[in-house]
Amino acid sequence: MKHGLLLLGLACASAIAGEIDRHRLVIGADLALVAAGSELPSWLHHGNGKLRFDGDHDGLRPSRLFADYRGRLTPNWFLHAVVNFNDTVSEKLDLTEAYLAWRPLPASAWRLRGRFGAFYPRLSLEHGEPAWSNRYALSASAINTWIGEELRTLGLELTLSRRLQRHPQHQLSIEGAMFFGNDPLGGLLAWRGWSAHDRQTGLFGKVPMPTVSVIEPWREDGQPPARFPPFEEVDHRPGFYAGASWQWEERLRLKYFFYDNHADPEAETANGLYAWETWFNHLGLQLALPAGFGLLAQWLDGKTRMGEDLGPWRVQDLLFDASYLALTRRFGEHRLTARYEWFDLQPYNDPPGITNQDKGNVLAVAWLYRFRPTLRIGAEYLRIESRHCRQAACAWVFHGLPRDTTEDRVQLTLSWEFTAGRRR
Amino acid sequence: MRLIVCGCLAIFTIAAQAADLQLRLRDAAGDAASDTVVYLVGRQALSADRRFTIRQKDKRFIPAIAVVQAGTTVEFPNEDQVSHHVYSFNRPNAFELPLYRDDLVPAVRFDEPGIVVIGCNIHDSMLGYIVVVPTPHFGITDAGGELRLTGLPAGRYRLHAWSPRLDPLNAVALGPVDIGGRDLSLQLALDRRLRSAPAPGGDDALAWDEY
Repeated sequence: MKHGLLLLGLACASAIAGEIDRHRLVIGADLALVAAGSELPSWLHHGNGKLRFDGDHDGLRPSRLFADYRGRLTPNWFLHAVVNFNDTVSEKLDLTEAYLAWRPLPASAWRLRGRFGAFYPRLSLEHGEPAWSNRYALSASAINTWIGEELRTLGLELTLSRRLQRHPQHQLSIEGAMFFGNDPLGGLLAWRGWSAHDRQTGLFGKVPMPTVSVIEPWREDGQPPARFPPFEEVDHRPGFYAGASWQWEERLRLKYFFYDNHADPEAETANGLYAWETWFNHLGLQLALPAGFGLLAQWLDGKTRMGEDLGPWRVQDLLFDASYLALTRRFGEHRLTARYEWFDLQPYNDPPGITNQDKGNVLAVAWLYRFRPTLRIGAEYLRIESRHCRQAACAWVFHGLPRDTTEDRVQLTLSWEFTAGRRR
Repeated sequence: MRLIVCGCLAIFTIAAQAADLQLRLRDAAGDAASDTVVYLVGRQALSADRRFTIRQKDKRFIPAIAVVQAGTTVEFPNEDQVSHHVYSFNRPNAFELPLYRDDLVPAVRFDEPGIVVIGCNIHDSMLGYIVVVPTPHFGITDAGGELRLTGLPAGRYRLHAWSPRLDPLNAVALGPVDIGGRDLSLQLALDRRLRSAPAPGGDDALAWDEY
């Protein structure tokens, strides 16, 4: 599926490559200095820590490397491709997005747009171009971290929008998409739980998993693999999503979004990779406040399940929700952002409370300063507090892990970004 | 030949019967109707070969509201580092700026009177208006709702007003006005309230471009 889309995209691009008259290539790299305070090794190293870094993997290190290409193939067609360099064992260089965008010239107040390929749905309020980068802080909220880790649209999306002619201060839009290749969505949440960081999974990538699952599955075959590929088609059934949004000038944007990957929870590949049936509701709000402040808020609520129907539940059967509020303000080339979050992951129907939970809060305070057109420095304090048991003890504790964890880290990041090519 | 004749007439008119109109416009609630286009149409529709410039800067049209006489050619220089695909779908003035090289400034000639809503196909937030009028007598009221039109030849005119905060698609007729030899001062009220002006950009705390 992914390979097919990629080949199609490249074929189209090369066929029209000679006519690209506007292109933009942005290259970026981040260098981070991290002090991580967590008693648990990071999930990236098969531990149960929620941070991307841990005591053995912090200090001075490169934390990001990307190339973002956007080319105008015709007046109405664009090609967008983003490559990230990953700090995992394999799939070091990987595409995070590769798609064709269609933007025909409107013949009326209605605007119809389309995207075809592999791309992020428009959910995150924190991220933007280039390369789906965080504009406000060094770490993303739990919701957007999860999206960057295991959610991607591999398919077709159409958006219809309109600026009201008699009330031009309002713009409305609706969107819908059909996609494949995201059947494992939910597995990372179930096995690793919520997290907050800035690492995106590539289309061909595999995410390392902790050895102890965050939510204990009801059967052995529900345990996490050592490495987990989120972008696979398992059951050959398409998923879909739909959204509606309202924007009022540059004061407010409100968007509702519903997602369902329509996966068959009992489907599995020959390699034993399961499909997770996942759906969620999402609400996003962006609000301009007085005195130059801005408010971002996202809320997500959903369900995911996998494996055989064991009667009262499936092998993994979970309810999840998360939300955050972020306050931000610019001071010239400086930016301050404070974010507070709530996250929860509960097994469905677990009266004795033995299979764990992942419930907690995140606090992030970040300062960003663009001191050169190509250079930005950032500093962020991040704290994740989680409570893993509903009762006094649960499977988490039986594995020798602390019932409640507080993980924090301080990070200083130097970001370099260079734009090449003619007009963007 | 025509130019000379017109020139002579103009001198004759100015010497004999040209006047100024000082206009003060309010809306139905009594608030000053600021940034409102006002124009006077005489007995005949008048076109002229003039030029005007609307810049694209910081992903905005500057000016966001422009009023030009029919026959004017408007240039659209792009002063941003990003491409803009400027267009309007309002017939009969629909247009699309063709792909242009950096050394060419695209221009469009507007011959037909009407409201032209301009946008950018890449940046949905960009919004501008060009009001094409069949007269050389036009202006935009200031913050106090005041406007002075000078050198008006004597005659009967129909006064019109337009604002996107009133009715973005239609001008409002304010009735006839007779210009004689003497300067005239008018206070007029619209029959509706003007929607309040958009809040000024809030220091870019948030990003509003479509991703």
